[in-house]
Amino acid sequence: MKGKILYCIVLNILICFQLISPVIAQEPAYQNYTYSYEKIPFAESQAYIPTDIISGISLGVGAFNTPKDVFVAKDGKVYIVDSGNNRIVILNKDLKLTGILSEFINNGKKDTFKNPNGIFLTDYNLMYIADTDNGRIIVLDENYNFITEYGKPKTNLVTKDFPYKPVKIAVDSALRIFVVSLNVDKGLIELDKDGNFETFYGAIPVNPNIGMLFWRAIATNEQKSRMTLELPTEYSSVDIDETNFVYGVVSVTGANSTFNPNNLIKRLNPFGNDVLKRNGFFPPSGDVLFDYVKGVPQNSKFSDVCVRPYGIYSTLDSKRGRVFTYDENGNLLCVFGRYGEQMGDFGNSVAFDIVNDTNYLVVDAKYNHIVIFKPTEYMNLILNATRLQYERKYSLSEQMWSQVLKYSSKSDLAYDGMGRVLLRQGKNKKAMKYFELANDRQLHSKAYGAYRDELIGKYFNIFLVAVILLWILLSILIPAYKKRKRRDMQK
Amino acid sequence: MIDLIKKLKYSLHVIFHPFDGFWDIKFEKRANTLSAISILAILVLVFMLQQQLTGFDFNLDFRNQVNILTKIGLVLIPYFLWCISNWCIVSLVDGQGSFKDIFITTAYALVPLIITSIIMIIMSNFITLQEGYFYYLVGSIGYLWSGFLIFCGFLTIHQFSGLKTIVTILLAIVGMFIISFLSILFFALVQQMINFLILFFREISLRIL
Repeated sequence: MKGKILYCIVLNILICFQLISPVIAQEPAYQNYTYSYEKIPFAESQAYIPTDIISGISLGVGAFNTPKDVFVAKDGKVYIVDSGNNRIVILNKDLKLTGILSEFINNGKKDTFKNPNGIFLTDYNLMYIADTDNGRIIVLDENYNFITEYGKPKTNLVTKDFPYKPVKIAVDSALRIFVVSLNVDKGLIELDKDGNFETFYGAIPVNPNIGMLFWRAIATNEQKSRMTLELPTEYSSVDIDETNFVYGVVSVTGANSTFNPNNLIKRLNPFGNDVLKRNGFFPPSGDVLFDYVKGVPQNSKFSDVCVRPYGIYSTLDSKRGRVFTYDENGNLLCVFGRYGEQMGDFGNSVAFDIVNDTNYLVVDAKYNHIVIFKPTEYMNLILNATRLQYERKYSLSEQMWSQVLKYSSKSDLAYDGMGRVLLRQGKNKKAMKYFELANDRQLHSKAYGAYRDELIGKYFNIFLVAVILLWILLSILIPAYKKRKRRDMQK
Repeated sequence: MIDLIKKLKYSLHVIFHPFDGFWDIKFEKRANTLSAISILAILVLVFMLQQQLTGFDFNLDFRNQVNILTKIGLVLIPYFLWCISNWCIVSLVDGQGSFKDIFITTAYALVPLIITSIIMIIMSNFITLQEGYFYYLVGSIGYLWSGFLIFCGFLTIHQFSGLKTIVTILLAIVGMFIISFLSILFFALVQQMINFLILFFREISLRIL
């Protein structure tokens, strides 16, 4: 007994002076949220929790200076583009330092980077680096030996003095290169595997509205010259999925008149057409509830995009420091992150990537570090359910969704997932109930159509027999009734 | 009561034989204010039922935000605005119809809306979104039919030519906007005045009393 009291006192002292911590998991100071179908945000279970921070100092390579990009290669190696220090820091799978790349041999001479902004590695570890201020793309092999460099694309479509500043790169399996260059509003620059200019790819359209066109039509030339130009917006980052579809995001958007939520995230097919699925309650565009300051929408401004397996993709918002994750149909899976001063908060979120499809690495160019986010149990359930649905393992997916509902009984996503599974299994009546809970009218209608067909198939025979019987009955009764009436009249 | 039912039943004749029907309403007293009010009440009721009973697929109203008063207001305020505005315009251009005529005619012209709304409620529970065109078609027919009846009715009760009727109807719509603008302005001014008086008395009570 005495021992127990002593033990308690010691434990209390230790906890009070924070010599041991009673809680091991680190909760962020803010609540994660998601949007209901009415575009109203509501608190949601935590999806990702910041667990650790990597900085240049913690790695022992000297502080980072405005890092701009991070890339996780197929083999798990992590490449951090430390732009201010003109170097690339390479970590292994366990996020331990393996090397620093700051110079290479180019035609027998030593060459260095000048403010590199982006990096991409193919599946066979061919390394493409956007050497921004040198205006070139550098290609290195798996041992970081120089192979070649691609300078300014030779084409008549740009003027001679056009400054070529490649910032982000993606390379598909046929080694076609997609480059995001600063101040290019014609889309992505597509280069073939030898670095020759192919075309501008996937330009973002301007959507003028009627009012704008009207004022332009009646304005004098002088007035027109003073109007703001409605230019197409530029891509800010690019990524590529397993099937060579290119994902692009936009950080700068025009004024109110040209704002279109469909233009913020693009999934481009080989022809450069947008094929992103937007079947959710609203198109994937980050925050759907935002205000306008002097007519300018304060929507999310995406600085990076990260494609994950099973059609899932995430976008990084640099306006409010948030990461939005969507499934292949465009349903919002989760939102996390914010700007702030506490552990795991961002100062300027510029790029991110994902380590073996679990942990996010978010690069912070202001605090000069990288924050690691780990999925919670709740998020793992959602991801697993989405994956199982993608793989058409519906009964397993149903189990996952029902567990998600235990965490969050308000989750439209989970109700919708349950409904989809039930619909596939042919339990139309039950599916209708779940779609109603999820407020999904499209799928509810589909389930109802199937249910109605089911009912018709079941009762059509009885209905037909009833109609024929009724018809026979009436054809006997009506003449008899008429006859009687006539007889009454005659009387 | 039997008289009222007879008058309401007459509306079914009116919607299929508008010229004949509205003539009889005006000159043969086949309808009165009570029957017009009853039709309005039924219209409000049907609109409320529409919100509650329309099938899930077609019901975009959020069921947790139902407010009966706004539903009533949505029917009655435009209705009275329309009648007043039309009466004002028609008095200026020597129309034959009185305010009562306008009131009754408009109410009887809205009967197709009641019928199509009921059909829409029933339909919405049995069709899917893919077949939604029929649903919206029925709705459009209701509005067009009612619009046509309003045109015919006003032609008859005011003894106007067709063009004059259209012009007065358009002017009446403009008039509705003017009336609503003026009333909003009036309420805003009264509110300002009341606020000023409250402030004034508060100031006095704090400084002098």
